[in-house]
Amino acid sequence: MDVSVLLLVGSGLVLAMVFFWRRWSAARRSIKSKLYEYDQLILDLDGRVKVEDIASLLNLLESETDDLRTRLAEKSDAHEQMLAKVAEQFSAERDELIVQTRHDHVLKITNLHNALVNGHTLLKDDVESLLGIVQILDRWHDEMQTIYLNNCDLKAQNEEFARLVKSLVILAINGSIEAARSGEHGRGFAVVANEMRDLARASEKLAENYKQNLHKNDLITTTTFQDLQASGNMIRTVVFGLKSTTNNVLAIIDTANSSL
Amino acid sequence: MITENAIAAIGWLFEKSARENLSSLSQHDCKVMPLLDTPKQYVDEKHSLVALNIASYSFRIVVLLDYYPTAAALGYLADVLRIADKKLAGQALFDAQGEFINMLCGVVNRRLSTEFRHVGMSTPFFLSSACGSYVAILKPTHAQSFEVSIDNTPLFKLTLCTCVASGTTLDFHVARTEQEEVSTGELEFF
Repeated sequence: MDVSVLLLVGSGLVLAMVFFWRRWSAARRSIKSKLYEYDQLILDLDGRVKVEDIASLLNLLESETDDLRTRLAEKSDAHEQMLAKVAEQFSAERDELIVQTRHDHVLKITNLHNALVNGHTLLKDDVESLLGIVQILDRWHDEMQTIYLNNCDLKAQNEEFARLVKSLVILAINGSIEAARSGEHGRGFAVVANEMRDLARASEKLAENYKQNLHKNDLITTTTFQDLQASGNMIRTVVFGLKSTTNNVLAIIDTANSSL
Repeated sequence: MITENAIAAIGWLFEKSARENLSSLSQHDCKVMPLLDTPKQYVDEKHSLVALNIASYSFRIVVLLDYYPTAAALGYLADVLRIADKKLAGQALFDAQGEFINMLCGVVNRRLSTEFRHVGMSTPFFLSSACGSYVAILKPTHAQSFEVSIDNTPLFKLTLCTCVASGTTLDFHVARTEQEEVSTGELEFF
């Protein structure tokens, strides 16, 4: 190995040592600077807060905390008392309101009950009166019988009239025959007899028509009366139904009243 | 006005009632036939016609029963009403006819009460049979007549005049399930 190589290696080593020494020196300065800052900070803190002061402050804080706790408890008690008082007052007012409302309702229901009872009494009276339709039907029945009997009389009279007319026709025919027998002297009488016969025929026709009308009259009168009677019976059934319903309504009213 | 359904229903109800009320004669052949005029041999001035009304709010049915005054027909009537003396005459005949029309119309009235809330029935009244010729004077909305006979013996003619209030329509229908129970094939309906 020649000298030049040895010099090159030695100079390299020297350069490396220089490089590491510079880096170490820089690190050492940085650490020293930090230590200095911390020392300064410690010195500052030492100057501002003392341990005694902290203890004193802690005591003060504890005292204030106790005081606050006591006041809070007092406030809580006061609030509870107030709430109890309010609740008591509310309960009293509520009870009073319930009593008043119940009283009002009882009064209203009593008035309603009285109105319903009065209405029921009126309705019951009306229903009872309506049942008087039976008497009306009996009256109609009697009147119908009178009309029917009167029609029977008219029929009998008409039949008698028809019989008389028939006799008159025969008499007129006989008169015509006698007039014919009398010849010239009976000519005037024959005219009278013919007139009489024509009148009797017209009367006979009239009697027949009258008879038919009496039959029609009988049919109309009877069926009209029966319509009244059937409708009356129907209405009576309706009224009985109403009577039953009103009694049921009264029973409901009484039940409701007894539960008040 | 009246609908075909209502006409058929009314006719059927009376027919059914007639059959029910004559059911005690079940061993006999009962026929119900439509009829326009009463046969002349049964027209008698002295004979009475029995009238009865069935009424509701909007309609009424005038029922005219013309029970033929023959010995055979009256004998059946006595049988149906269980009257020992079959020679019905005078007051007994009036009472029997009145009772029979009450029975006929009672069945119909009960059935109509299921269709209409309120229906009423009159009592029977007697009229001259001649009155039966003038039913047109009642101005019925519809009229129908039928004759009921037992073993080919005509018993009575029933005329039904249905009068419907103007401006209303009578329309109802009856289920005829019972018809099948009664009918045995020999019965004729109209």
